[in-house]
This record gives sequence, structure tokens and C-alpha cells, in this order.
Amino acid sequence: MDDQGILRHCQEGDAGKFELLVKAYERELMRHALMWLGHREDALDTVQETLMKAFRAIPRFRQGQPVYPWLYGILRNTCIDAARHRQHDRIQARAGWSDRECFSSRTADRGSELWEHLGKLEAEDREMLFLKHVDGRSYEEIAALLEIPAGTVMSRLSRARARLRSRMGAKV
Amino acid sequence: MTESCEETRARLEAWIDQALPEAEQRRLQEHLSGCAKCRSEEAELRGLATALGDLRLEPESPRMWARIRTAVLSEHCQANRIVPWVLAPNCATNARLLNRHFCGNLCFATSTYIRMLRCQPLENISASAFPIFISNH
Repeated sequence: MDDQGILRHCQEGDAGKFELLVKAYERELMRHALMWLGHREDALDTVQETLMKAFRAIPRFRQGQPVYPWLYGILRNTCIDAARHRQHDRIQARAGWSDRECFSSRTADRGSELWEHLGKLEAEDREMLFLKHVDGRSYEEIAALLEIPAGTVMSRLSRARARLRSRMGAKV
Repeated sequence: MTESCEETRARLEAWIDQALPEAEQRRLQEHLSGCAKCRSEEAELRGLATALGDLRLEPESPRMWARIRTAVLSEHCQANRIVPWVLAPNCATNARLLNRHFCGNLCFATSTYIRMLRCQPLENISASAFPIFISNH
């Protein structure tokens, strides 16, 4: 059964089919939540909240609409809220962008340094860099995911690279 | 005619991202072959792209369905005025919990019955499907 079929079944009252969608996308959502938040426990909470929001939004899902961009949009907003709350509530805040177990790199030292620098970027800059280089998506795929023009993807990506290079002192 | 440094810099990122049209690639390469500064810029951008591409985010499966199953089915059942059926470890536990909760919003059943009855409207559940417990109700 494809994604559209799963959501159609859910809309028709078979809520158990939502399990198929959860299992199809949970790892992808988790990767992107880690990209946004850099902390495993926060990412887990955020993906859980995202999936509950998605489940509640199923009646409003338009058949034919691409499913992952729909889920990603919900995740993105949830991550933005989570990051905002983390900043506002410093006493209860978790470790923030410090969870080095989240990632691995073929070049351990450089990867670790890069991870630290990425954590200091604005989340939107980090998102662009991850979608392009870690996920390996094309401009068009990123544009579809974020629902923005491909030209905007290029300019945001260029800006994100410039900021990262500036932070790294162009030592790449 | 080759490109200027300014034009080249504007196109380098698209080239590295494999998004530059072939005709423009040729002009850019001609410029790069004769311009050390632009080659240096290209090397830095490629280094950054390689370092980012080497990063891996591959979390273990978060087993989300186990975390949200009860909440999802409960919300669905509340919204549709359906009695939800949730897994309990054994029949004795089921019977006790069922007797306790059947008149409320939550019931417990064995996995076999969950498959049969999950999220069915109450009026659609045959008494023979779950005779003891239904008759208790």
C-alpha cells in the first residue's frame, strides 16, 4: 500500500494504518530532528509530537499531496517551537547542541569540529547545508520539500556556506 | 571568451552542486584553468562540501509506533465514539481490566481480538467475538 493509500484508509477511519506511515518515515524524521536540535532525547520527543500532530491533521490532508514534505513541514515547525522553548526555559533545558553520539564522520576529528560549528549556525542555515550535502538532495528536491523556489534554495545555500566558512575561518 | 572572476565565483557553487548547465561548465572550466585565485576558491568550496558529505546521521529506529500507539488509537476512538482495544499481557489481566473499564472509555483485550476488533464501532462488535466480556457488559 502506498502513502496515499495509507492516508486514505486513515481518513476513512482505519487509524491502525497510521502505523505503516510511522514505520516508513520515523528514521527520516528522526534524522531531520537531530539535524535541527542536535540532541537525541529532544529529537525523540519532537518526532513523537510531530507524528501526533500529523495524525490529528489527517482529516485535512489533501489526497495527491506529497506525503513526506507534508510531514517534514510539521516536523520543521515543531522543531522551531522546541528550539524556542529550549532557549526560553534555560533551567530545564537539555544539553542542546552537544550530543556527539548523534553523528559520525569518515574523518573523525574534522567531523567533530564541523559538527560544533554547525551547531552555532542559525537552524535555517544548518537545514540548507544538511539537506544539500548530508542528504544529497538537488535544488529542486529541497525546493519541493520546503515549498520555496529553487532560486531561493540556491541563495540560502550560498549564504549558509558563507556563514559556515566564516565560522571555520575558511579552514575546510 | 572566458568568464570574469566575478562571474566564475557566482557559478562555482552551482557547479559543485552539479546544477550548472553544460555550456556554462565549459566557460567556467576555461576560466579556472587560467586563474589560481578562482581555483583556490573552488578547492575550498569542494573541501567544505566533502566534509559535510562525510557527516552521517543514522539514528537507530526510534520505534515511534510503540510510543504513540495508545495515544493515537485513544484519540481516534474518542473522536469517533469508539471503544478502543489495547493490548494487555494475558487473559486474566484482560478480564479484570475489562470488567473494570468496559463502561468507561478504555477496554483491554488479547492481541487476537485487537486484530479483529480494533477501532470497530461498539455496535459492530459481535457478542460472539468476545462472549464472556461482552456479556458482562
